[in-house]
Amino acid sequence: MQRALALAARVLGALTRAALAASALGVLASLALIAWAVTLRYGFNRPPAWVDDVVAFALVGIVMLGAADVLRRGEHIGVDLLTSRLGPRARRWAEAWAALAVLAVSLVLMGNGWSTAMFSRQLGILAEGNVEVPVYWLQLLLPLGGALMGLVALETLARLAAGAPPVATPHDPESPE
Amino acid sequence: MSVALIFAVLVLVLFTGLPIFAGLLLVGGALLIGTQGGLGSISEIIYGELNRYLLVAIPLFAFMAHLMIRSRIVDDLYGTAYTLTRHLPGGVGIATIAACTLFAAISGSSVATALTIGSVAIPQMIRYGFEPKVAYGLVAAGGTLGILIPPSGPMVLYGVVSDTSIGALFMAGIVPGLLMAGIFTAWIMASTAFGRRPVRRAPRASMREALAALRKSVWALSLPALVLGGMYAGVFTATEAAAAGAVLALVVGVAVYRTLGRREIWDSALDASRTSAMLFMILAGASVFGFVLTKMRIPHQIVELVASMNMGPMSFLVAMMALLFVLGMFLETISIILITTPVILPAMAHLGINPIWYGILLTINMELALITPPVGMNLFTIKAVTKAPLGLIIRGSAPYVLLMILCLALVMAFPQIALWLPGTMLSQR
Repeated sequence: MQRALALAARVLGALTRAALAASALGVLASLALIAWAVTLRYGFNRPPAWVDDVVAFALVGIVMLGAADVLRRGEHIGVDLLTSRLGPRARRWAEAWAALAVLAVSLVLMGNGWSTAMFSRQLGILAEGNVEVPVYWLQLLLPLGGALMGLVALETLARLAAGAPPVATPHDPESPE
Repeated sequence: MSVALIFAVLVLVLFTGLPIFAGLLLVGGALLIGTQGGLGSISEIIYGELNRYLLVAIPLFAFMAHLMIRSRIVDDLYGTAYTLTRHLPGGVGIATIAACTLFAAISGSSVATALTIGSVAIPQMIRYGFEPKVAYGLVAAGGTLGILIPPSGPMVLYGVVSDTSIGALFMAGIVPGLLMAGIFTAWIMASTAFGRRPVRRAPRASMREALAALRKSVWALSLPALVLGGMYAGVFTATEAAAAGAVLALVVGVAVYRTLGRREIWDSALDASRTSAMLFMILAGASVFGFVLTKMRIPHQIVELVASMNMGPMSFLVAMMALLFVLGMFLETISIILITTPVILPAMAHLGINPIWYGILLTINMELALITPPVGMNLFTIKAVTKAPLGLIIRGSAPYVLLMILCLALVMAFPQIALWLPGTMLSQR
């Protein structure tokens, strides 16, 4: 069980880190595009109309690709006023409940997000604004982010069942990272 | 189902310790199933909420702040503030407030301000004779200026949710922010002058020393000048100002301070992504929750309630501020803003309350939330920095809770404190 958990932690760690790296590239690309657009507007009086749309699309990716890493590090904000006062056993139950809740939300994002994207594809809907890309490309980011968070929630549940700490944080001695 | 019951269920669910975004989506999803028989277009609501150009300001401001923290610019900011104020009663405390004010104009985050200034200022204040609890309270409270003095993450979110100009909100935060810093400074001077414990004062800096200190932090000061000046003059939108600030922070860190390399820049981008994902997942949850409440006509019911009670704008605001204060003791600030704002917007419009003014009152109230127990992020931040007992930090922060309530009352009584500067900005366009 411990070996399986360690392997899962390694694979999932690599996946969430890769997704976060893509998210960070989105931040840097948005910065470069906006700086370029401002330069074109004031320097050459030729503002590119599509930059605003592209950075707004990128934001969906920044959020959905970064969310799983934040979840894995246990950094999503929650109210731990009561749960921090629980004993170790009760706290594990509370952590399992939180992981189950995230899993449920992930399943909704995957199922509902996928069917919405496929519906948009079927109807050939394009994104509104100056960049007319098929909107389902962007909508697919939701089920992708949901799937990554769902995997992290499953890992947390497996760790709790095996008696390991719930989140494989970098400080976690049981984590292979 | 009544409004009170829905919010009671939400608070109960959140208190079970799950991530706030998951709680909002669970309760919102359950309400959707209960009222519509299915989840409907839940992912379309989330996609529509996240796909907004204005929101891109937040990752860019976060990137700028992380770059600034890594470039260790704060040492120069604090050094300058100390050189200029060290001869005053409680000079090192005043320097701390000044450094918090300046850093607030760079970071846009209260926790980042308390964390960064706290690690530099608290040991210095204690060395000069401040009681530890006074030093802890001062930095916890001074750090809250991070969200009132622009740029401010919570203001961007409020602006997007309430469809209010973010530039105008930023301008509206400046005078109340300086007023609050002034009130804190007056309190430090008075409590040091009449306090039981002597606090050492250093000799006044010579003109040469003062100029040298100012020269050292000129780059740090150029950042808020570019961001706020650019928005005030109408050169940049909020998102462009964030990008301009981030580019300048990169140039300063790489070419002037030479403390930023590829590693630091990449780590800052990763941190900005994490901050954005954390905030915007709450926004995603709040958008679904808000959608259901609107479908259930709850904002409309609140308008009817306000009308039936013959409530005037001021009594409505007092009631809202009291409610926000109580919520702020238990919930985290972003969630409060995102959950309450869409619900009360129609009532505000009905009463003719200026949304910019309300945004500033809301932000001051959220500053209070950061230092009121049991859930106060800045209290926890100071505890993390100092390892001091939480009770001691809470006692040290208590006078500042009263001072912030005073500031809130002043801005409520005199709306022009907040509205004057954005008024001049708009009249010049």
